[in-house]
Amino acid sequence: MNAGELDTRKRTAEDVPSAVRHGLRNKLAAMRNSVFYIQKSLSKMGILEHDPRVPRFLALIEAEIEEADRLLDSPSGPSPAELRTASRPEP
Amino acid sequence: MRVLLVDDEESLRVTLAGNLELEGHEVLEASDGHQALEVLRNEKVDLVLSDIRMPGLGGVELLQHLRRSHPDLPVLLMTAYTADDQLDTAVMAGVFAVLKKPFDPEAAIRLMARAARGPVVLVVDDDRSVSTSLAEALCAVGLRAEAVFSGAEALESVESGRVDVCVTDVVMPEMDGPTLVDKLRAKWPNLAVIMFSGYDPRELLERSSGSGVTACLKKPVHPRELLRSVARARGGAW
Repeated sequence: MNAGELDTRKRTAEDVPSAVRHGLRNKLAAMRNSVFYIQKSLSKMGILEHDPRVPRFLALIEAEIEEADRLLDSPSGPSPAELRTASRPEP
Repeated sequence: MRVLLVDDEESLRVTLAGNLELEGHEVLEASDGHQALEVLRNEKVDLVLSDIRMPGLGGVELLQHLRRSHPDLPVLLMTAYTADDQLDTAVMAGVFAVLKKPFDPEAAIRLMARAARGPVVLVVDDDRSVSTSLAEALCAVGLRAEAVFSGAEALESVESGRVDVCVTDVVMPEMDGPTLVDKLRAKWPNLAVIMFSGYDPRELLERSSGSGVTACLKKPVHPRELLRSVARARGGAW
């Protein structure tokens, strides 16, 4: 394999994770917008006060989205250990 | 406000539009830059929020088109890439701010409302040629900017409520930059402040840490650096 082919392969290998991260961030953005909308709507309807688990679970989704975004920022992507820690629910 | 939302990701478009409408704003949607230009032929909006990477006409090209056809229309961009190589082009085309996905919808709506009001960047330097040329560089790409020549004049301008970013020299007679920053931050804690000086900017940034200064630039200030710092101060995306 010559130097040009090696360079092309290297760039392709870098582009694929970058495209995956881009796709995932778009999904996280839509999820974050949805959570915010639901939170506002439920608050207006007075449902958040009715069941304390609803605001807690909404906050949990928000925290998981932030954590997932943080993991995507790490240069080599999340390690299996990081993924396990991130997905562990609060007691 | 009336917002044109441009993104090829339908899920992002409808969810963000939902949040804007919940706050009483009106939203028009387009799935790429060409469609956005088509919408703008018939509709008037207060601002455009567009994704950068889209098939067809992307966000930065859309911004460049709009600078010619709608020079006063504020344009905000959003990106899902950590280091987008198109950001510098966007800065030079006068982007108001860049949002990094996934962003906080509440903060994004606040920023959009601010952009729609057409806020001013205030440049403060007792050397008239410096403050005037920097303000002109900002105006040249479609941003609103004004030059003033002393700390007292700066305080008076900010009092008007039109300023959201203050760019100030450090060494000035009567009232120096740090004193001006203290006075500004005491009264307007949300005002973004950028300082410039002949000193080493790293040393300046260390000395001003905690005072709310978002960037320190070294003289002579390059317009590209200033534009990037202003967009960062407004959006904080990259």
